[in-house]
Amino acid sequence: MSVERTFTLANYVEFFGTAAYREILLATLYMSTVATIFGVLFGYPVAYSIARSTSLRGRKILLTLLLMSFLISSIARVYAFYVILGRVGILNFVVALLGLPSLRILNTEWAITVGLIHFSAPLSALTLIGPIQQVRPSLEEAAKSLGADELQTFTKVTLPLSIPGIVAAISLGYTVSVSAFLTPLFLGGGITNMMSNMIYARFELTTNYPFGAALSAILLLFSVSIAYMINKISQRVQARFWRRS
Amino acid sequence: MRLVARLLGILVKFYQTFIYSFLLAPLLIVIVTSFDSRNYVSFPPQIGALSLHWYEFVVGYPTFVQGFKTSIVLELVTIPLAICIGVMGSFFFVRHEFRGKEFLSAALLSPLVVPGVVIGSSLVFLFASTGLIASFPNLVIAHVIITLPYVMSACTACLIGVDRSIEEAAMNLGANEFQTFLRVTLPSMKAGIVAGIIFVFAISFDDVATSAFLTDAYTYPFSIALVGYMRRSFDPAIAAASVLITLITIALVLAIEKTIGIERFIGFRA
Repeated sequence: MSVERTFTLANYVEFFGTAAYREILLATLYMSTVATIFGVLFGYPVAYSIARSTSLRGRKILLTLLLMSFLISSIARVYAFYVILGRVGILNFVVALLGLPSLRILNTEWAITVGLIHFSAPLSALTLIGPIQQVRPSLEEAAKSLGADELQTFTKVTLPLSIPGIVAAISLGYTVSVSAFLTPLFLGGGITNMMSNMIYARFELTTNYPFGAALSAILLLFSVSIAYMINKISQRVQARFWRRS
Repeated sequence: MRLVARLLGILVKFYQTFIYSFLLAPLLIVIVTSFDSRNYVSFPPQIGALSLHWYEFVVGYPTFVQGFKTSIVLELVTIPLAICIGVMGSFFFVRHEFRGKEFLSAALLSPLVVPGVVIGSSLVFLFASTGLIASFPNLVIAHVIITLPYVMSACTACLIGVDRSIEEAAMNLGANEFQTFLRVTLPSMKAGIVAGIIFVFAISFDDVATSAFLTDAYTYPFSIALVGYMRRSFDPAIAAASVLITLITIALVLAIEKTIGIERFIGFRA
């Protein structure tokens, strides 16, 4: 392929100057953030149930279930959510049973976000099992012996001590969500896009390689810089955390 | 107060059950749909229409078969390559100090942070400008790049825990450094290497974002073949193919359980 090697910022100007492109970048960041937050909201209880599981067999079963949901291929995930969220899908089947009008979720931001959550939640859970385990049960028992009930023990002892793990899970989940390719490609149906499948479209459909390269650079910049910022925040959290205990 | 605590406890259990159901629902749905012999995706499945039709279709469809063969060969080349480089690299990082170590370590772990499409598109530019346009070697290089960080993380975590005194004992008894590495260090890293193999296979077999840029008309991995099919028709053939891949995944998970146990794999300290 012939690539003109003249240095120019025209591609970046075009990207940031066009509202449609800016919106896709913002949508990417927005969907990734929502998916990461829900990923931790879903992943933490799962990790907790495994880390604090009392029976060996129970823990093995839960871990196997978690691993299965993690190792399922992204193609299977996308297909399944197509079946769930489609106009004649499972969700609308249940909605119709309740007498409500059918929902159009597929091809919207919510469809993509749900798909992203489904990948980021097991990842967060796997990341959080170690940190939750590191909170020694003896600390929880001490709190209970001093009169705290379950909720107070959790919010005042377990949760604060697991915050470094939560930050790690956020960092990992965000990185993975921002890079998502297959999920937005199919669950967005070409109507809603994320940066990654826009890059692919530039290469495959319009062969506008310089613009595609600019898109890649922008995506890389946002992915790396936000991961870096979360890392810095994590270091500061850890410093304050260790100083307190 | 106690009643509130009990209610909260039940709520938490409900929440956890909901989450597990959400996580496992796609797997179940894919399995159920794969037995549905109708041509379109619809729910609920008709009991009378259940058959193995789509499995026969997938196994006989030339594009899928070709893609599967390519994927398997790709794995057979990528896994040994990634493991060798990863083991050697992690050994080098754990056992030596040198200038620029932090930078090199960050560089080698960077594919974790870089989106797959960016890696793919960058490699296209690199390969085009250096004239390396053969698709299969490009795929191998790309897959080694994206899986290497996982191998190195797993091996490094394992290597740090290796008991140096045993190595010293071996060398005292006359083994040279290479023999010590082969017969003492490497077996201690078995868990990390097994984890590395599983990771490489899972990530590489499933990868679409990076591979999409590096395939050509004759060389495509199984995942790309599936995606190409999905763009044209969304029938249960994809469900059947996904179930077949998942069976391979299940076999891998069972292999983990048999060799080192799932809990050690997750890094669980019991």
